[in-house]
Amino acid sequence: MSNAPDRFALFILAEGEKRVEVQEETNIENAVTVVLNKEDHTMGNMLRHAVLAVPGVLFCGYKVPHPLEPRTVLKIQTDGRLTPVQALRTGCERIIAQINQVRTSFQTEVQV
Amino acid sequence: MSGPSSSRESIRPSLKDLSQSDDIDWPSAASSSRNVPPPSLLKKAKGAADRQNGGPKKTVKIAQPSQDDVRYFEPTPKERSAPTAQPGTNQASRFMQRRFLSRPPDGEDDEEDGDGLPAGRFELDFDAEEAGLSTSLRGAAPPQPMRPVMGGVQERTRQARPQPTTPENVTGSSAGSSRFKAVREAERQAASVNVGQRTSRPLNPPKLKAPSVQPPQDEGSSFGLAATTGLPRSSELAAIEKPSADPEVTSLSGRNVDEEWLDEDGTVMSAFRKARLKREGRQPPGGIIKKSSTAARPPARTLEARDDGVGNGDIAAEGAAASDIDPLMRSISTENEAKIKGMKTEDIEQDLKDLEAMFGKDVLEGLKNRKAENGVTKAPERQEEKASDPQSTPPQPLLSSPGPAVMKPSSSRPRFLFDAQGKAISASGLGHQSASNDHGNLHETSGNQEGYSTTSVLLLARSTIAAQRSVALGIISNIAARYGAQLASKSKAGNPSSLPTGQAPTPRFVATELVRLEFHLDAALAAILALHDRQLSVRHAALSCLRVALSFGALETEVKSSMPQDEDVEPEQDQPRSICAQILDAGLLSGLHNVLNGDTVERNSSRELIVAVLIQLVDYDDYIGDALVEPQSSQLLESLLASTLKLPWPSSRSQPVSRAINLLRSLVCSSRMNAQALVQRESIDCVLRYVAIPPWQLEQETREGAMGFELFTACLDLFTDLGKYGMYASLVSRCWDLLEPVQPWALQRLRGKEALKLNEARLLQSYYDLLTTWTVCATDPHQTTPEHEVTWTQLEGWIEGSLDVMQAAVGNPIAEERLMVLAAASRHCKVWLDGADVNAPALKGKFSEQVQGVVSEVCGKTIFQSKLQGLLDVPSAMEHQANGDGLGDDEEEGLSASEKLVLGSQLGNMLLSLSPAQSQQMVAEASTELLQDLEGALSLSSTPSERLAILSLAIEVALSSQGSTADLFAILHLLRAGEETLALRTIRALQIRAAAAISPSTPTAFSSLTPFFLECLDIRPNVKTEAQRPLFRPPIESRPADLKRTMTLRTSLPSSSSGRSHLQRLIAATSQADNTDPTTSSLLWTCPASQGLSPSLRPDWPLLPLDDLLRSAEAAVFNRANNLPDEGWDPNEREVVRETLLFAEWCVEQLLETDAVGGLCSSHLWFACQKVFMLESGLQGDLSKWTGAVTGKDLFRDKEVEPLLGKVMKLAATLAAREATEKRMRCPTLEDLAACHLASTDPSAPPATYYSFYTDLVALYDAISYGHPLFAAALMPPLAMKQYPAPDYRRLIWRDHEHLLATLKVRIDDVGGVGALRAYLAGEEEKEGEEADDLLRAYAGALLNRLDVSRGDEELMPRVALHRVSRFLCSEGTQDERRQRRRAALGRTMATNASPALKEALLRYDWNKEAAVVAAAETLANSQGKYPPAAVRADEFERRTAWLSSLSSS
Repeated sequence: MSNAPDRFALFILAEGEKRVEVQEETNIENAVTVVLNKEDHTMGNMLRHAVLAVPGVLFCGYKVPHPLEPRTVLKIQTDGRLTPVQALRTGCERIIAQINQVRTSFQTEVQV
Repeated sequence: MSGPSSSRESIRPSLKDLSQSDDIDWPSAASSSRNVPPPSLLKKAKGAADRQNGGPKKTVKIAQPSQDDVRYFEPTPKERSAPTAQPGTNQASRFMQRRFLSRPPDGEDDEEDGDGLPAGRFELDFDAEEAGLSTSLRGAAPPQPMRPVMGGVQERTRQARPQPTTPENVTGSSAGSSRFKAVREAERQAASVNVGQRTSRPLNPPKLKAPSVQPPQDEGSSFGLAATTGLPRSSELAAIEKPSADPEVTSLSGRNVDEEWLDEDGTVMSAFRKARLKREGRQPPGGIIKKSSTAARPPARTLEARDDGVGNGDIAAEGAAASDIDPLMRSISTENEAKIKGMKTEDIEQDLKDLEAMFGKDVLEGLKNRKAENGVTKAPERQEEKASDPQSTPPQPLLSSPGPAVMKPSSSRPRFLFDAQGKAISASGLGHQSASNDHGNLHETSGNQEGYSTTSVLLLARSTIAAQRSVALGIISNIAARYGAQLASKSKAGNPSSLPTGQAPTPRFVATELVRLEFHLDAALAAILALHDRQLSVRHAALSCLRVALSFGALETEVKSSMPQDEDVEPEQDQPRSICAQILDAGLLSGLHNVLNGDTVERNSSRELIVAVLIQLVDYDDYIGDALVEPQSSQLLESLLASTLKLPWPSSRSQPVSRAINLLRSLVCSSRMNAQALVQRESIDCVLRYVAIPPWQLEQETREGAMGFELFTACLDLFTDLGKYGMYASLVSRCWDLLEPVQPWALQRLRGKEALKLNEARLLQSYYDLLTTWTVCATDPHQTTPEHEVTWTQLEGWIEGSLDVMQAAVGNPIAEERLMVLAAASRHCKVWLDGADVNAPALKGKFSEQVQGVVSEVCGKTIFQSKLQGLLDVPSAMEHQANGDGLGDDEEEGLSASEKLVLGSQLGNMLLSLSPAQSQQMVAEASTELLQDLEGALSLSSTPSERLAILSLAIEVALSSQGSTADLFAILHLLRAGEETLALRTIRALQIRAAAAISPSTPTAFSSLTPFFLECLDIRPNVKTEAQRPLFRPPIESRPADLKRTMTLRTSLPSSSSGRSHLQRLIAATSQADNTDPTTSSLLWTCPASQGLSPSLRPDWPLLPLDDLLRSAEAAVFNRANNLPDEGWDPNEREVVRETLLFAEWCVEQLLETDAVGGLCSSHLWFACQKVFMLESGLQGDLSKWTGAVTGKDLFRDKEVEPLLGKVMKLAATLAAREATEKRMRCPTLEDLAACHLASTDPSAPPATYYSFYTDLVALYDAISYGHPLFAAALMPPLAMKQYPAPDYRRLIWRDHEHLLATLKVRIDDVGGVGALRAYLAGEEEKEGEEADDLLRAYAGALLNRLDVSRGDEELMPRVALHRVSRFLCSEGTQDERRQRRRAALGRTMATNASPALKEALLRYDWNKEAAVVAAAETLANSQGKYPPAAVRADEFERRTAWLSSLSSS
């Protein structure tokens, strides 16, 4: 496997590569495609569920275009009450809050 | 195309990965049911588990010697002096003893001392061993290890029957001892070298005391010594160890021994002893007798074939009296049983292990099998078992099975009795047995009727009496002939269950049953056996019988395919193969040779029969043709030709067999290799004598005169066939002077007043066909074999003669015979003009004008027009054909209905090709009837070439300005394998018409689809590649470039091809090379559904490019070397999809307009649309970007593809609505389509399932769709499925992808309106048990959270959920307590959580009257596309409301 990609290429961004790229869909209203570089199903699936739970989101789906490329594509469409990026931000905040909550409860439980 | 394919590659695996590689609870494609291993895997796993556990336990019973076991052992001299062991101390089993014995000895002396060894060594008695062994282990295992086991047998025999042992020929010290001892001693003397080498061995041979006198002694017998040291002691052992080295020893069962030697006591000597004595050159002590059983048996051939030694007789045949052995064996057996009962389980198992270690598994298996065999054989109810259990008598060829085993008819089917004329006189049902069979009385009775059953008559064919054999073969051929005719007729098969026992069965029913019983195979094999008979009459009868049986067999394949399969009749795909193999293996060719050489009396009739049989066989399987031509087995053909064709001609003494030329033609047509072999061996030259003298110069009244035309025509046809391979055209330079006189004679006959006779017309037709073929050869002499066989200059002048003949033929009166000549001559003119294009352009213009002149003269004649119309009149031809069947051969003088039709077609084709402008109108008018009933016309044609003529004309007319598009579609669906060129022509015409209709400005429209259609029709678009491919079907139009490539003249391989012929091996190798990826050597993928025209073009052929696009990485059309057109073909995926959809839309619209859908269903279109959603288009982003930017754009969003998809889906919905109302045809389901469209070429790959495709599709929708309405609609069709996996699809959408429901805004009209809605509402989840609970919960949850019920009159999903929940909630149903509990629970949920609007919708919905209301909505034709649900009456609504509120209050 001499041509196997380096392990770090799965999570370290290349030079000039952005962590998140947002491409607006030109022919669909209130829709964006968010490219998450160096991310896989872990982030994609979590974000999909979180964004779908945000009110005003019509569609949210993700795919990993190729299993050997650490790249996740998230598609979000809203009904206009908020922009897709706002929806994504809300989703992210919710996830952060949830994870914090989990961490706190875990620590509490472990201390006891 | 590399771009799109790689981008698609990058998408699709990721989808699969999404569903499979995810560990977390990810709901999209990861369905539990998807990953359940198929049952076959489960089965395998179970098998593996069984193996790990050591498999099922098997037991072997072993006997131990008991205290009263009387044995006499032969002590060594040393032992004799030692104290003998008491029998009473011998408690260990005999195998325990063997175990001890088999320990590695410390030394021979130790062993001979026998210290510590239990008693149990004994001397073997060879006669006894042979008698016992040969019954059980016939050649299956080395006999040596068995000797101790069987040793006791003979000792007991001798004890039971003490014999005076006075050997006269055994010398010296052996006098007074047993004969065995004496023999052994003598032999030991002879083999003293062996003995002398072993110093430790006693020099004096051990002496065997007379058994009746000597007390038991054991330990250290000489055999035990030999066994433990592992060295053969004497030649006896060597003889046993190498049973196959001596022919006498191989005949353990005594089959090959024709004389028997007697022992001193007069009993039959064993084969072993006989072999020994023979080796030593001695005579038997008791003299020699001829084997008594030989005389009573059938001739030797029957013995070989039948007697495999089952039954009591075989022990007797092996040298011991059966009466002696049987009681003995029984007593041993009972003793063994008793002994085993007394043993402990551990002991038994230990002994078993020892046995296995010592003898090996094979011997034990052999013993076990022997036990099983004996059990069956000796059981008195053997016959009944065989009759009642079809499994116990698997179908076997007659030759390899013993007599009773041919009784294949199982008692579950009625058996028939036939009279001597072969007519079934009665059918006996279950339970009727012919007890007489075992006693040689083969005439059976059933009730008050007498006759022969198939079994008995087959047995009778092997009688020892020649007359009986002859009669039996006659009856067999009568049966086969009578019921073969029944098979040929089109009447329906009788229903076996309706057959009353005892009544005469319907002929059709008997015929079908005979096919089931494979009577034809048995008959053929019996006949082949009888071909070797000594009696001439039997041989002749066998020949007739073989002929009839083969005709019956040829029909059988058709019948079997049309026959409804019974549950107990396994479909046997290899059946034809085994039949052919068996016929050949049974010695067919040698049998025929035997008849041919041995026949002196009725030479002619039997020669004709042989020729007929061979023609039948060559047509039946190519392999037989190969076998006839092969140098090592060609004596039959040579001697046949010598006796049928290589005769003086004309001569009144010997008469040639004209059909022998047909046999040569059959061989030539079968394959190029055979034709080449015949030409090289100069087998063809012998027929030249029949063209040397023109038949019209023979005296017409004589027999020769009548035959002359037939032979001459057959020869010309033979030369034509060879010419189609480019062979034998050197005849033009060698003996053109023989054929040249035909031309002036033809002119004389045509210009003369006397009408042309049919045989003369046929001769002229064949003559001009031959000239046509040779003209093709001369057009490009490099294509002939060998090259330059014929050149253009040799035949440049032929055109003048043909023109003269054409002119003369149109002279009055225009009879059919003249038209035949006209058609043939005009064909020659056309081919000559084509050839002149290349070879003599200067001459072409001149003769072209002349030909045009003749054609216009022909077309101008009204009488000719009406004649042509008459020839092409299909209804009258069919009527004529129907009437002609009853009339027999009365109309031998005229042309048959199909011949007339073909003649008309040929004329029409010629006129159209020679002068289209002048003849088009006339031919189109004449062939109106033909186009209207093309199917009927094709049903009249019997040979492929006739079909081709008719189809060519139909296509030409349909393509002309007079034809319609609907005609082209109709023709396309009638085309079959072998007519690919015609199909391509039709498809191209349709493409052009579609292009003209859709976008007149772009004339090259739809050209991007051509490679896909070519691939489907197995035609290579690359001219160079195509020119190098061998042609396995004759070209429809003979072209010079095809001469060398033509591998066969058959349009299709024989239905019963065994796959063994040269041609078939060549086809396999070519297709293998053709379908291998040149770079990766992997197998390329071709869609199984689009493999040519077998049986016909797939109904959704316009959509087939999508299959290849979906698997572009491995599709043959893209990846085969040199497969794509050289230049001018460079569309991308988007363009291919766009053109496919555009073309398909046009085709479906045309079909819908003319109401001739031709097998196209809504599921085809739905599936095609779903495939499009799986594709992507173009490249996006910068390829130089290092990270994964090679991701395409979703194709369905393309601004050209999207509207097209919408249109196709609309057509699909229209078709779905039509199918729902009309129900006139059976449509394949999506599952069926997926199984054949997505199947892999790799046999080890798992079968393609639609569910797997659908999960990928849903996951894709989930990921990228943004709720696209067309994509959403494409997900719907599986939800309307009826059969089993339907709930799985519903579960996938309603439960696993519940979050998608809000985006699935599919209108009812999008899926086909009201008609289709019924299918979506059908299905009764509430009855599906516990598994349905989650679905109901999903429906209810969707109504509560995701769906807007107010849109239920317009949108599909709310309507379905409303229907399902309301139906469950509001129907009282049964009083099933569990159901009531579930209903109440759901009601409480709804009462608590549902909005008032939802509650009202649920309670008001009248699911009972759904169908009626929907139908009413349909008639109202609501223009808004709304289908309001039905509402219940007010009182019912009140009642339901009260019920629900009572639930909420409680």
